[in-house]
Order: sequence, then C-alpha cells, then structure tokens
Amino acid sequence: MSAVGQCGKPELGKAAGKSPDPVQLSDAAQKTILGLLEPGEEIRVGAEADMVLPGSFGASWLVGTDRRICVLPTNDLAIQVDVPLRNVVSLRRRDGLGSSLLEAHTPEGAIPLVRYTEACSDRMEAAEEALKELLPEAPPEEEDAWGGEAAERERRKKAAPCPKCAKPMPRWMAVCPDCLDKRQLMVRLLQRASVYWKPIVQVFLLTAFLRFCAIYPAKLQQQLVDDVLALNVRSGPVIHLRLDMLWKLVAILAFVRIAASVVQALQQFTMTWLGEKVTNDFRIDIYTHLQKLGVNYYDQKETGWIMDRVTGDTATLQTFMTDTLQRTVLNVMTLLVIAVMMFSMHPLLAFLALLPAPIVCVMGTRFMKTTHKIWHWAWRRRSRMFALLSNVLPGVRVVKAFVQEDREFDRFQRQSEEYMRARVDAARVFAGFSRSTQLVMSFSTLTIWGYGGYLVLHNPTGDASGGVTVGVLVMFIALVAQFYSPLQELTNMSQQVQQAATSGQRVFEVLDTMPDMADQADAIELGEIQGAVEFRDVTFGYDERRPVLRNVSFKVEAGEMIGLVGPSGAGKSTTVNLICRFYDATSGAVLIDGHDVRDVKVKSLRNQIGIVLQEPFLFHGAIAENIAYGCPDASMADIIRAAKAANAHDFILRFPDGYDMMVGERGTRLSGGERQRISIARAVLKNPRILILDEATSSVDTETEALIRQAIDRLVHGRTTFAIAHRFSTLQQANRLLVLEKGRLVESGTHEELLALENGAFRRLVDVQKSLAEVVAVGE
Amino acid sequence: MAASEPGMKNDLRLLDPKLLRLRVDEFRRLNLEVGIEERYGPVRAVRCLPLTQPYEFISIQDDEGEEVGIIPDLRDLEPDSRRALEAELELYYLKAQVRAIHKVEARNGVISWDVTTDLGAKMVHVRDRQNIRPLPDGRTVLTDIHGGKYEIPPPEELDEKSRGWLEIEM
Repeated sequence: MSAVGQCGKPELGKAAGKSPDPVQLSDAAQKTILGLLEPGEEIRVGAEADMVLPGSFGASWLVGTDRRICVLPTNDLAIQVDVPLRNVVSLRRRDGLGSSLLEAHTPEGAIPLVRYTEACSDRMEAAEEALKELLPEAPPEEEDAWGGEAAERERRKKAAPCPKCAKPMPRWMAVCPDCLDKRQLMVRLLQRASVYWKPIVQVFLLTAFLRFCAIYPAKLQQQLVDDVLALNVRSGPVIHLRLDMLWKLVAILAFVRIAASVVQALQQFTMTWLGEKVTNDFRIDIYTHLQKLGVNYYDQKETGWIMDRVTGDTATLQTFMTDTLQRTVLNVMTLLVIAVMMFSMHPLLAFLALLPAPIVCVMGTRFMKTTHKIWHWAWRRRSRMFALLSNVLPGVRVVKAFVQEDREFDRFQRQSEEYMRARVDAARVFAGFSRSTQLVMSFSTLTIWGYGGYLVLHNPTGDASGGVTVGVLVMFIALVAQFYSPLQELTNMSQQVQQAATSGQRVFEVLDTMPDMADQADAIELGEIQGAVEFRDVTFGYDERRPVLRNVSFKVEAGEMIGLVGPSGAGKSTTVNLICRFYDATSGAVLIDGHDVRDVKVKSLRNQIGIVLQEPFLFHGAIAENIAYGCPDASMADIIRAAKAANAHDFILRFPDGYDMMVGERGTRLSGGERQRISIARAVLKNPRILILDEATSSVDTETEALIRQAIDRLVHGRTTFAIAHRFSTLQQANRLLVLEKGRLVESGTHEELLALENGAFRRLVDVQKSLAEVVAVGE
Repeated sequence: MAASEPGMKNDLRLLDPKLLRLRVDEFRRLNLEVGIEERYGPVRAVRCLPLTQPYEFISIQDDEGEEVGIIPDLRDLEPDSRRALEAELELYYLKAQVRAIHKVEARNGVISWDVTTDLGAKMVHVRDRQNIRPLPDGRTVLTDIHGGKYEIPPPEELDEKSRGWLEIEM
C-alpha cells in the first residue's frame, strides 16, 4: 500500500512503468472508512483528493467498494456522496483550468463525485481508471465537452573627415568623438547641473556647515589644552573657573557633534534625492532622443552599447554632478580656510607643514593622465561585454540548437576577463598613487612633531606670549589631518572626474547625434492618403559607394497589389524601407499620392503604413496589448474583430488566459505562425492605406501558411500592398509583379505576362524554383 | 442546431444578451438558445479575458469548437441564464480569492505563499515571478506550478500584514 502524497506540494515524478496500487490510502484512513461501510464491504479503490465538493480546499477520500462509489470529506467523516455501482453507467472527468471534476453518470443524470486540483491529478486519474474497472459494463469513450484540457504551449555608413583631426567622422555625429573638447564637455555638464541649482546650493551649504563642524573642534582642542588643562596655579577659585570653562567647551563640542549628525542626515537625503533626479532626467533625455533617431543609427550601434549609455553612464554622471562636483568646490574651500588658519598662527610651521602639498598635486596631475587611457580601455571592454550579452541571450535557442554553449561561454569569459584586467590595471595604478601620496603627506605630520615639538620645548614662558604652546601643536596636528584629507580626496577625485568625462563624452555622443530622418521645417501633415506610390529614378545604398537600388522607377495605383520579386540582395526589402522612409533615397524621389516623402511629416506617413515582417516582433505583454500596439485606444470588440480576421481568435481562446496571456519576451511563448497572425491582427487593427508584407509566410508550415494567406487575403482588400515572397505561388493574386535584379527593375507585368517572356528574369526564377521542387519531390 | 452562416466564421458576432437563454440540462451541460430559432447544446463558455475582464467577452462555442458568438457582458443576461453561465465558468476556471497572506518564502526558485482563500487555507507554490501578475486595477494573480489561479485583491483591501508581504514581493 503506497503512502498518500501531500497535496499542494510539488510532486517529484513517479517511478516509471510501475502500476499504482488502486487503494492509495493509509491504513488508518482505511480503518476509519471501513467503520462507516456496511459489514463485509471491501475497499477496492481509494485516493485522497485536495478539494471538498462543491469547491473548497480540504481533503476528501474517494472510495470504490465492491458495492458503491462514495466520497467522504476527512474533516467530518460522513459519507457525502454515495452512488451504488449498479446505477453508474459511466464515469466522466471534466478538466477545467486548475481543477477537475469527476462525475458518475446514471440514467437520471450526472452526479458530481469529487473535485481536485492538478496537484493530485495523477493519483486521482489512476483512481478513476481503477473505478472504471469496478463498473458493471465498460463505459463508452466520451468526448470531453470542454474540448480537452487546454494546454499552454511553453514554448556604415559614409564617413566625412573631421575638420580638425581628419579622421573619418560618422555623418550623424555633430562632433568628432576624438576631438571632443574636455573643457567644453565639463562646461556642458555644469550647464546641465545648473538646472538643479537650488538643491545643489542647499547641499553645498549643508556640506560647508559639516566642514566647519570638522575644523572647528581643532580650535576648541587648542583652547582646552592651553587655557584649561595647562594649570600652573592650583588654588580653589582658579580650579573652579577652569572647570566652568571645561564644561562649557565640552558642551560646545557635544553640540557641534549633534548638529553635525543632524545636518549630515539631511545632506545625505538631499544628495540622494538630487542624484536620483539627475539620473532620471538624463535617462529620459537619452531615451527620448534615441526614439527620434532613425533606423540607420540602430544599424550601426549594438543594443548593449546603447543600453550601457542609458544605464551605466548616467549613473556615473549622477555621482559626478551630485557628489564629485560639490566635494571638489568644498575641498578647495576647506584647504584655503585651513591654510589661512595655520599661516595666521605660525607662518614657518605652516609652510613646513604644507610643503608636501605641491608634490601631491603634481603627482595627482600625472596620475590623471595615466588613468585616463586605462579607464577608456576599461569602458570599452565593459561595452563589449554588454554587447555580447545582448547579442547572445536573445539567440539562446540558436546557441543551444547548434550546441555552441562552450564557444559562447569562452567568448564571454574572454570579454569578462579583459574587463577585469582593465579594472585591475586601473586599481594597480591607483593603489601605487594613493600609497605614495600618503607617504609624502605623512612627512608633513612628522615635520610638525619634530619642529613643532622643538619650538614648544624652547618656549620660555610656556604660554602664547612665549611662542608655540602645546595647544597650538595639537591644533596643527589636527589641522594637517584636516588639510591633507581633502587634498587627497581632490587627487583621488581625479579618478571620478575622468570617469565622468568619459561617460559625459559617450552620453553627449548620443545626444549630439542628429536624427537623420527628422522632419523638415516646412514638412506638411499628410492627410488620409489614397495609397498611390511612385519611385522616380531612385538610387540608394546603405554605403553610398555600393548602391543597392539603381535608377528604379515605377508607379503603383492606389489599391493595387504589387509583388516584389528577385533573388536575395536584389533590393526588395530596401524598396519597402524607402516607402516607410526608414532611409532617404540618395538620389531621385519616392512619392506617396504625389508628395515627396521627405516633404511630409514622418509620423503622418508611417501612421498610414502597416508592416507584416518575416520575423514578427511582439513585445512582452498580453496578447490584447500586442494587437492594440498601434491603436492603444482600440475597443476590446475591435481587437477581437482584428484577431478573427487574422485567423488568430481560435488559438488565442485555447490559451487558459485567452487575450490576457503574456506572450513572453519577443513573443517566445507563441509559435512562429501564431506570432505572425498576431502581427497581422495588429496590422488589421491599424487599418493602413499601404500594406507591406515582407516574406510574411516564409517561415511557417503549409497548414499555417494557408491560414495566414487567408488572413492576408482579407487584409489586402482595398489597400495598396507590396508583398515580398520567395514562393511565387503566393503572389498569384498580385495585380503586377516588379522584378528586381542587382538593384535594377528589370521586368514588370502580371504573373502570366512575365511567365510568357522567353528568357525573362521572372521565368528563370520560376524555372529554378520548379526544378528545386522536383528535386525535393524525388528526394522524398 | 443552427449552423453558423457560411462566410461568417471570421466575423465577430456579438450576442444580444436580451435574446439569450442559457440552461443547464440534467447532465449538467450548458445549452444555449438565441432568440426562438437557434438552439445549441451542449456548449462551452470561454472567457476571452479571464484575468482582466472576467465578466465581459464570453465566447460561446458549440460542441465542434466553433464559436457561436460572444456575450459582451454576462451581467446583462437574465438572472437564470447568468447563474447557469456563471456556474459553468466557475467550474471551468477555478480561481480562489486570497483573503490573507500569512507568509511568503522563496526557496530554490519556488516562491511559496501561505494564504487563506475563500476556498480555504492553501500553500501556493509559484515557480517564478512571471507567474505573479499585477493587473491594472490593483489585483494580483498568482499562477501556481499546477496552473491554478489565486487572485489577490488590491492592497488596500488586505490587512496590514498581508499588504506588507505583498509589497515586499511586488
């Protein structure tokens, strides 16, 4: 007899091939049940369910005896359902989402027996099978009225030379990245910071107060030593007077400490708030600008590189603008105040104490130059590492399918180690610099102890009138520590300034990039178009030296369906890219309803174009949200209508969450055909005047292709359509075919007209496809 | 049984709630009458948006799986039909309403929620955070490792302790 598994807890697989015991109840449970049965009655089947009828959580026993089927909730130990075996015609299971209901069918109707969740479905189904064996006649197989369990499927640019350095400069850049003026860069960063001048001033004042709180105790300590503790006369009134002074000074010191703590808490909060605000504004600016940039820009830059600008560099600039910048100013001020205090007390001692300062400054400047290159190198490594991740992670299925995990691991390991090495190099240089400056600065303290101590011992009176006192010496020691701390911080800050300069350079590189598809100043709003398209002597190349389209001219009437045909690389996708104005023609013009696309507002043009791509892109979100992506205000009825037109409604409803189902990142929880139909629904809902189908059916099986073609037939009706397809059979309903070869339009006409051309380009392509189909057929 | 009209399969048919009559027969099967001419039985009811709009857009399908039409809002049905449809939907979509959250613990990638629901106490095991889904109206739906759904009401409707656990997890 097997032990009963705990419902509700994940069960770890069962032993394969082992026939389960029909009575899956503990001895104690069986004993209890037998007490409620008739004398001589035998338990043949038993299992524990995790729900109690009609539908609450709790345990109940399903029991089959030689006489009946009964169900007993374990909490009240009474028979809840009791059906004699002779009355049962059949057993029927109704599988819902998350639970199942087992019913006994009798001539009078269905009697619910037991309900249970998926957690115990294995043993309950085994019990169901065993119960069927008890029935007088074998029950007929019955179709599930719910249609069975709905299973959720898991599833270049031309370069102009920089006028200054003559290096090639990307044309979309306003400034040459190599010649970016660092001072100009800092001015720009400061200009951005000036927007937040109020909180910056607030933080500055709070920090200045904190610095005062750090310096002032040195003066109090000097008073403590010289005026209170250095006691020559031990008479009662003098001691009383000194004690008064002692309590007063200790009270002031305590007040300074408390005030410093309160102010520091306020300063920390304000700085954090300011930092988050600055970063948020930077991120939004960059993202808004990125949305304005053309497809061109994304062709050139890797996603990881761009993401690093939006996240990593903005964080570095946050530190610079909210922390480094202010601390730099405050440290300089602190240095000046301490220097004035020291020189006013004893110029020679102050001179000796501060003698190492210029050496530290020279060392800092040299260090800045050395680390600049190392930091740049480290940043480039980090960007490459991000780029690698963003490239490989979305393609993890391909990596696994080609068993390239080890190679990808090696590549990542290399990038990661290079980044680590760059940072370790920077850390090594920094450690050397930091320790050597520390050593130089320690000479200053030694000088004060040596020369200062000498002066104290040679003070004839022992008080201020005779020269240097013990109190002055203590104060000098405290002030030197306060002096070299900001000085060292200033030199260390060179690292943060370098990081900020590098990040600033990279962020401004994005912000300075000019949108190459920006609307002209006099661009007009394109009203509702008819959909006539004309290419007038269009030449275009992603690299101007190698044109992809050469002097292409054609006219398409509104509502026509055009098939774009040609071998790979002939310029078919480029043609549709120019219609959408993802790129501008190098020469010639693309006209929509007689308007040059460069003279109209890009948004008003693209609003009237729908695209269905070979690899449809879905965003992480619900199916309904993806269909409504182009029309966020669409009603649910319109969304369902579009899904039905795209032959998507039926498969959507088979998902447990229906239109609420999350499609996963890039739609990975859907199959290729399902993603394609969602993207068609998206295009249907947008109701575009011009429709572009770029190999919309090439990556799906024949049955799915038939469904997609059916959907497309509905979609193309009444719209100007450009369809690219390698399977020419799918273009038979096109009004005309345009045949491209090596960027030139070589033929134009109907399917039949082009087929009739002996040695025509289209005829040759069709012949090649036919012969390939024959080879495949023979092979099969 | 009335067949669906040819050529209409891909058109959206919104059923007028006033013309509908839904009943459960002696075999607990749902039957539909549209007006006086169309009769369908047995039919199944499927929610288009079971999470965000559970009472709206209910697809009614015949035993061949063909959609008869969509009920825009089941609350517009006459009371008996509404009860029959709700009973059918309740049976198909088991969704417990969480009343209180006692503890949430993540271990080995499984997040275990110790909750009290309207159906009783339950330990809900959720595999990853994708199965903890906040809805626009403030509700949260947990999908456990067996596909069971547990609906947590908006935070303001929970007690302080439950709200605390929810806030930590969200």
